[in-house]
Amino acid sequence: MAGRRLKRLIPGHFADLCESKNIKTVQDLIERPDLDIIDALDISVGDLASALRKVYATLAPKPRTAFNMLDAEMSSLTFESSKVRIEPGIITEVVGAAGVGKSQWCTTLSAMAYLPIEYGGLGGGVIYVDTESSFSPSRLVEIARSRYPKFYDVKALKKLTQSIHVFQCSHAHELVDQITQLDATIIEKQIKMIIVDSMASPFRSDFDSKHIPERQMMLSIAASKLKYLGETYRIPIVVTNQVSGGMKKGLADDGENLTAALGITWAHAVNVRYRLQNKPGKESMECLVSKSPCSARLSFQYSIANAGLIFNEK
Amino acid sequence: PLSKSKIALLKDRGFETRKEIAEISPSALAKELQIPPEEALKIWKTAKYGDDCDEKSIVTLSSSSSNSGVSALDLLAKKVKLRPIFSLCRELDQMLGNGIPMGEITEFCGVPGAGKTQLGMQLSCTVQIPKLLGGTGGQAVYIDTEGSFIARRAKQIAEGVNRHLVHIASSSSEPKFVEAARTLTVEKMLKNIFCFRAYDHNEQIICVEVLEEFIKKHPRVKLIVMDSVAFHFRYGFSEKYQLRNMLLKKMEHILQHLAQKHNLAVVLMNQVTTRIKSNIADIVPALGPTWAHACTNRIMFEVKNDSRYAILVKSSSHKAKTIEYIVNADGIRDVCIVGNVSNRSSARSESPSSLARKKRRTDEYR
Repeated sequence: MAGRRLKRLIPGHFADLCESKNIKTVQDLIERPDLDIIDALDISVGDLASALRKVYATLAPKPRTAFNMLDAEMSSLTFESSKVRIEPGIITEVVGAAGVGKSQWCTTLSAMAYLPIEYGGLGGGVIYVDTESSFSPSRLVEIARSRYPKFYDVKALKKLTQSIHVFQCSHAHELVDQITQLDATIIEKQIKMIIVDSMASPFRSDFDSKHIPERQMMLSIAASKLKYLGETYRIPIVVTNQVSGGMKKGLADDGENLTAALGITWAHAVNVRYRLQNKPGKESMECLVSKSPCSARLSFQYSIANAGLIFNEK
Repeated sequence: PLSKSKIALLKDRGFETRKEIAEISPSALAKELQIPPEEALKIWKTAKYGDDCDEKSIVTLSSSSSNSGVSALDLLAKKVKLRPIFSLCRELDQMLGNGIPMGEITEFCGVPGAGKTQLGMQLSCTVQIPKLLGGTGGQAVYIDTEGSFIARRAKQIAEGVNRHLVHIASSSSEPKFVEAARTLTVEKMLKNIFCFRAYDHNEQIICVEVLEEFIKKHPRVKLIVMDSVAFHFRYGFSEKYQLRNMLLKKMEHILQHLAQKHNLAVVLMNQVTTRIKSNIADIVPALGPTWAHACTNRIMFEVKNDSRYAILVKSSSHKAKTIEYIVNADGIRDVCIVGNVSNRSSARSESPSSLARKKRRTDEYR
């Protein structure tokens, strides 16, 4: 929206006038104080007000009733034997210490996404943004073959591997740039899910503690772009995050000593947060719903097997 | 209408035309003519408003065309006529008087996961409670900047509200209450929530600008929720804080105007940020101290060890207070204290007598 040109959106005398005075985009129009515009365009207050009214009416997002939105919400991915759902259109975050299964979670989801909708999948490809070089294609194949042996024969496996598009980015700005350019790939390759594994790695390595505000700014931009992609194409966005032993104050967490990295700004931006942790003294591991707009603080047991992440039935 | 002596006096002091008299203030005229201010005022008004009005109409003109403000009594009468929006969490409502007040901007800040979006969705449903049951009977506008409005969850919350109303209405003996509760179906509630999705700060501002027109076409709108106001303003403005403040002020101005002109409630959700002062990290509302002036009332949500608290930190008419609340399948509710242990998983529904009491309370002032 910001960069779009007025001349194209609202063709006419007013736009031409603005263009001649260097007010080219929507953002220019909004950010200039009214008095400035009146001076520059040499029009009266009333004229400006009515012109702006027309402009805004054209550019405003069209409202939908909640009822209409209900129909539009499409299918989600659910891990079998659990209530863990990955919903489209929102950012789902998986947080945990090293080795707890975050990349396994992502790889399992990638294997599930290719399944047709009738089998519980999304029937399409996956964009896998790998920032830690931890994506293993052989592991993907192993999971797919063990989890859905009937569906994944050799031919299907080949198609599966063709449908996962991996992007390697190790720096924060690379990551943000990459996210910005995903539109084309999503449309061409019928992408049904975007995975970023992990979000924390490039941001924590590129920004030190003196540059936290810049880091938060880039994170917000990344979050905003990811949300936009998720909502425009109605696909789930899954990101992974690390933990840190840092400041704990304020996060609506489950009282653990380790908090999710990337700070509170990022925590606001994600819609759903799952926490993976090792339960001391128990064999299996625990997945906790740490933040969700539509679920209580449930916890699930899971283990990592050949077939990826297996949730235990309660 | 002026006496001959007055006209002579005016001529004597050099006043030739009516315009000359009208262009100075009554007190200056009084000084020049050496007459008491009340007489000067009469002359001034005559000069300003025309020869052909007589004494009586001058007096009536005074009260309508000069701006002497609205009396506090009128304001009070207007305020008690406007029903606040119940949230169905009694403690929260009582903290603000009787509910979310009309004509004011109320801001809710809190850590992620505290329940702000839940409250926003819940209020979008409770604003629709029929007038017969003590509610506002209005519609809601939901400006979503983060994509957190999930229709499926809104439906769940609407179901909770509907259950609550039907339960209360059935326990009363009035069939018309039951009827009113039944007619507010889940489908109807969802159809009365208008969602605008703003993907960046430009769209957010444009949304607010077009609300005036929208409300003219939908006069039943009594609630505007913006969730969250902060998200898009927290990036893209490095080194441009003045610009950010100007844009925020613009938005605040329009929302304030809408709240007062159309007697509706504006509810803003804000994020929090960490402020480090002498090595102590504090959680403060986002968008800075300049923005803090925008809201009339501000409530902070906090989460400590699985318990959720709401703290009233700013209000022009109620004192600071902390209450506890829970979020369950039905949305935000009071904590239910049953027996020895506070049972956080169940909700305390509003008893029929208390809802009727609320209705009576708002009726009392009529």
